Amino acid sequence: MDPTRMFGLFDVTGSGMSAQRERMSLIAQNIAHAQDTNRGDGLPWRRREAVFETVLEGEMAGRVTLAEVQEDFRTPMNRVRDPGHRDADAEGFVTYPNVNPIFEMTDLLAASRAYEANLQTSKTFRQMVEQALGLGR
Amino acid sequence: MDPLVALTAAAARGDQGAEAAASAVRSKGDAGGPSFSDTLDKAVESANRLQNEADDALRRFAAGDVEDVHQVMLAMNRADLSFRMTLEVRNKLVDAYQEVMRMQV
Repeated sequence: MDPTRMFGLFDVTGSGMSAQRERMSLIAQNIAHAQDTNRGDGLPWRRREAVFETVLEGEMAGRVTLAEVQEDFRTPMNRVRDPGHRDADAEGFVTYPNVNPIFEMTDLLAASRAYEANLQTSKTFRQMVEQALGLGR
Repeated sequence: MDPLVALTAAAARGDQGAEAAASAVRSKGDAGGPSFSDTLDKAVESANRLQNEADDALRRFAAGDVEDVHQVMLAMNRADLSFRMTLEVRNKLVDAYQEVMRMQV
């Protein structure tokens, strides 16, 4: 009896849930830093997104993992004129992060649903094994 | 308490059927293949390993070292299912032994 083969599905769904959790923590960061004009290096916060990739295990495409955290350079930053602001540039413009709360909330919903889907897969698999064990009785 | 230890202890205490059945299968199987006793040993061993893993995960969770709650739950799922499977095998074995003992001679 090789439990890694028997319950390998739990590893796969578990990695999916972990991946979605990471994604959710990035969304949380984006929302928290939505008005952050200085992230420590003098630049404003830039929206971060998760990039996932497959962990290859022999022939079976197994788990999914967070490949990298990518900064969003496609969405333009928000420039607001506010000459009195500490982080205003020479022309009196302050650059705010390119975080759109509506977009983040939609992403949050998607992440939560994807987590749920993985959870449901685990539950269903567990039920299948339980039913199979019932054969012995 | 480790459920597998509990199971073995229960077998040693009162359940003579389990005890006798266990000693009955301890003898080598024929035809050179692994004996049933070896296979059962392996199954118990891996079930025990999964129990320990779940224990570990739970301990880390209690200590606050875990960020993925679901990994703890999945470890417990794995341990539970493999333990129950071993238990089913054991039940079948005891059933078979008792069936044989009921035979008229």
